[in-house]
Amino acid sequence: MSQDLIAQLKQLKHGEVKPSEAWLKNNRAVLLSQIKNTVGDQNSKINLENVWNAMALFMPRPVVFNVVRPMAVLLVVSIVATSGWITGVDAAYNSLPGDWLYGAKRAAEKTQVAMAAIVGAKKAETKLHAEFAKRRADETKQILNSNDPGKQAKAQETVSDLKIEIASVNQKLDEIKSDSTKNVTADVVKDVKQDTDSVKNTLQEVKTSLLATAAQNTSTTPATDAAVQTVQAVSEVKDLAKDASIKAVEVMVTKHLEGDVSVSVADVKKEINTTLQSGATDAAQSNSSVDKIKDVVNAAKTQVADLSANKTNNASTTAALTQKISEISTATNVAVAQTKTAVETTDQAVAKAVDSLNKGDLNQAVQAMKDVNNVTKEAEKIYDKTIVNAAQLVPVSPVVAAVDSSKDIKVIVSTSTSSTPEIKVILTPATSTINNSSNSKTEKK
Amino acid sequence: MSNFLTEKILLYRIFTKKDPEAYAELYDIYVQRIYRFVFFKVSNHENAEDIASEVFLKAWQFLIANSEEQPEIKSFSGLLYKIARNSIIDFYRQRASKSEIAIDENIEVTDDGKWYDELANKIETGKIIQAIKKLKQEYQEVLTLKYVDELDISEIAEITGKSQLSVRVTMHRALKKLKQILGDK
Repeated sequence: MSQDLIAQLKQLKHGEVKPSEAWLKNNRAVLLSQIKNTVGDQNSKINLENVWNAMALFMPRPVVFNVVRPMAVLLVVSIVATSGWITGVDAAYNSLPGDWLYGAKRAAEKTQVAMAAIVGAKKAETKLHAEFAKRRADETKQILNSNDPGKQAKAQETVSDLKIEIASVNQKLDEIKSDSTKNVTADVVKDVKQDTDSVKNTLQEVKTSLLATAAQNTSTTPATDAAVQTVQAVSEVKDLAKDASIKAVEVMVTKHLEGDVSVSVADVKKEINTTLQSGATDAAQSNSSVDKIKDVVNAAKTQVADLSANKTNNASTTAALTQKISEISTATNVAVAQTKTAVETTDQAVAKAVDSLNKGDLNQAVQAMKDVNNVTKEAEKIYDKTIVNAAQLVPVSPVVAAVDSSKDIKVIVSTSTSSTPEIKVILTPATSTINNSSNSKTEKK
Repeated sequence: MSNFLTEKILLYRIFTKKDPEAYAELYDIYVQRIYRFVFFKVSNHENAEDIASEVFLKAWQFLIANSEEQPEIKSFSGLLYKIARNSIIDFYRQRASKSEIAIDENIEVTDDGKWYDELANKIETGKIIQAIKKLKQEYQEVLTLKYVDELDISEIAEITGKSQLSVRVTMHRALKKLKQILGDK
């Protein structure tokens, strides 16, 4: 009975109690028109609130509004912040001084250093300084290769920044050396050394290209002056980089002797050897460059002497020129002698260092390496002085800058175009007859 | 579950866009149930039609009025049944003078449905409807919601505002009472 009753109840919905189809349709139309009148035209606007309500279709409202919404907001904020930071700094990464993003690049770097300092990660901090020094050196190189009219000033700016970075690296290396807690391992120092070496090499390139530029722009004296200033600044920083490199090796040795095994003996020896070799090369290069200057100056001296012997007009200026060039010649000859001594001293020191290395006396080797460094630095200073001195009168820069020493050097002193004699240096490749005189013309003041 | 989701999406469209078409779809889903619910409580089809259309209009007005704060509506059917109950109460208040127990004897044969082909069946149905109308409101509700509209106990509990246990007990008693009425006849 009960089941029958339930079955009958269930059948009710198909039968008597069903609303009529006509009413259903009619009522639907009436209802629609009624409700349409109440709302009017609705412009669907995009409302963030609707997103949460849409989400609330699939999960409980308290979860959406108390958990999902705050989390989503946090997520969006962090995504915007970090992606903005990443893309911004990435774009800034390749910027150079003068670019509007360069400030962002420097700010990002400063933040990194500050973060490392706050955390107390000396290891990271040192590496960062070395890394940034490398960047500054690359920037300097890029700026000087560009066609920017104000590139000298910008280059000097980056060089001075580079100096600060290198100074920081030096300072950090000192701290690491005196720090016996072994927080910083020798492999880090090795990385730093490689960075400083790279800085050193980049600066060498910069210097060479600067000399070449100076030679091309001799007609505009201020540019030359700026270039000479930049050369001096670069030389100074290069010395610092060398010091840092040496110090890094020293710290490596110290760490190694303290029992740090992160870098093997062979590696330490290799680093010392590389430094020694590069020192020897530098000394030899200074010497050969000074030698080249000497050749040019002496050639010019001969020419001027001939000129004063043959011509009687402009006697006073020619005489002054003769006197000046002989002064320079004397100075250059002294420089050649000095650099030659330097090369000999270097060779001896290198031999001593290699000997110590073979014996396994790392401390002794480091000492010898330091000696080599000091001597090469001196030699380079002499070279810098000589080139600046000689450049006053003779366009020696292209000669020095020319990597290919097989070129023939020809010095011409002419009085044809002006009352004051002109000294030209012509570089002709031994195999061809290309005339570089247009690039190597200078006027005597 | 899919019905549940459809209903949620339709409600969302109503809240955010005040979309009449979405409401029309909800109407299509619920109109017959609401009509039946009302029909068992009022005397005839005309009144049931009036009240049912009133219910849907009121429900729309409620949704639009609250569209800003978007109240969480656990079940739209629950809302409709509540409005329907109130509307029925209003209906009886307005017609308090009249005695409305007697059913219109001419149960409308609204269309030429197959169901009416069998006369015996028709009589049987009429008997049950009459019997249901003799039950008290409480019993009517649970019986029609459970067996005609085939709702879950939980839904019925929500609509009637009772606990599930109470709904079960009421249903048991209502069925017993209905049997008794039919048996008496």
